[in-house]
Amino acid sequence: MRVCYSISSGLILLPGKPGSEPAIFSVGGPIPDSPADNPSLLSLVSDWQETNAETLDSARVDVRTKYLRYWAAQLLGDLIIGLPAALECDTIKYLDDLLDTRVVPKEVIGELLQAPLARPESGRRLVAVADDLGCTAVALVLETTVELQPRLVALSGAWRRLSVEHFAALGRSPEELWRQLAHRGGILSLLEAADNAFIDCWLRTNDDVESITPSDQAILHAMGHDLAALFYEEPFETEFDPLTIGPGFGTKPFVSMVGKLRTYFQKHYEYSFQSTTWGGDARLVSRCHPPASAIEEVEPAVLFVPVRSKGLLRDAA
Amino acid sequence: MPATVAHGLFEKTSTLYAGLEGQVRGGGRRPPLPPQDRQRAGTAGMIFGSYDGEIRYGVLSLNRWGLRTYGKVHCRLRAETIAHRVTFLETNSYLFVRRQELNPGDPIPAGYRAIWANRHLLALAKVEPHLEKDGDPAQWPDLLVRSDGRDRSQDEFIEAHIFGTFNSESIGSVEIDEEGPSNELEKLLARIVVARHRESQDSPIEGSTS
Repeated sequence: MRVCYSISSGLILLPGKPGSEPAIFSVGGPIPDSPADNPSLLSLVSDWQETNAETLDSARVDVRTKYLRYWAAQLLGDLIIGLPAALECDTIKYLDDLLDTRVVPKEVIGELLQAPLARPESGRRLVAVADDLGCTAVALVLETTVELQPRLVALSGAWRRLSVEHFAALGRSPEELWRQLAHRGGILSLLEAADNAFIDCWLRTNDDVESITPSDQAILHAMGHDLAALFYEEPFETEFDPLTIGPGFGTKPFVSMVGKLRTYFQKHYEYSFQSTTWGGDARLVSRCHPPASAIEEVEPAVLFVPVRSKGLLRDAA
Repeated sequence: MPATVAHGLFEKTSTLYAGLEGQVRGGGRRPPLPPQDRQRAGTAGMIFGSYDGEIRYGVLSLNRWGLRTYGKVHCRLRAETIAHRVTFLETNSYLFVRRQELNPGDPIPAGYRAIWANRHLLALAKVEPHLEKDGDPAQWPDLLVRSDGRDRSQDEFIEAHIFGTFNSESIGSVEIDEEGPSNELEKLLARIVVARHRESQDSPIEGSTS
């Protein structure tokens, strides 16, 4: 069945049976399920979309997932913009619960990477606040988002320098195509991709674009090469280059490593882990050195992290 | 309005309260096609004709509270930002069209609408059956806006029709309905809206009731 839904409000509209009113359902807010009985309610919402759903229950599940992810990203944005202290604390705790149980952190990071942060320093401060509150999921999302900013700035800069002919040939504006890329989580994929995987990642990201033609494919291919060239043209703001850190690291993005390390040691050790920039400042401080067997359980690439840090893991290994 | 909507409005001052019609007219997206949209468009079209897309809906109130069936956040618009571009209808426009059995092209019956300057006459005509000679004026706000907070079909109010859009700077006060149904996210968003509103109130301007 065809339904209308709004991600921001969590409302679902179902056409009624012949002769009856359509119905409105809410997956989040306090608006009760009821007939959609006046235009005022419908006009409150500005992001109606249409989709096919097998049942009302499946539509509810799908919309609720999108609704919570959207608001997780919005609340993180609110935190970065700034909130009064008590509200900041409550928001972080609520978000941590959300990220632990109902929202995939990586998808939220994808939402946050739609544009570079105006105040990344605010994000860094919030990482410390979240850590102090024991809200590690929030800390990790914010930390990753902040760490990716130099690459995001470089990517958006490269995007702006792309030839307008590419966009004209596709019949889409740069802004529209960027929004679509962000919507599909493509920006995070590109930022995490190694240099030799950038093009593949770009093409994979564009695979599911609606109504793509063979000629569009060719344009996207050329566009991807241009984008990669421009993206890697200038060094990133930090000195650390995750793609050349060591043999075997090639396709493993640094951010994923940080996440894996954090998750691993969170489970097994009392720890404090910080990685405040892309380069040279990653350090693991553990109260006991993990045994060599522990290292082997983590991806081999992480062994290269301590090369530029305190050497704890290398010593332990 | 729901806290989710209010949050978007207070995100930045450049955000305009667009509503569905504004977006459709702006060409940003295609309108939803199921029957509910035809009903919405039909109702608005019968009352407003070709400019139905310019209308934002509200409620005439004597205090800072609107209808609890529409969400936790109650925003009172500054009079000076809307007085010149608002009209009022005696009830919910959807119900009005049905009760009056209006068809496309029918004139709107006289006596059910008012401009800002005459809004008191429309309010008097609507609540007159409930007024008593020695009644307490403190009860008047509850006579003008009646809602049980659950069933919108039982709401009684005077609907405000604002021509054009507005942003958060048009909002004079924000109140949160602490009693209505809500979840943790709505409560949090409502608190954020209040915080953002306070931040924007560096130079408060006193406005009268909407």
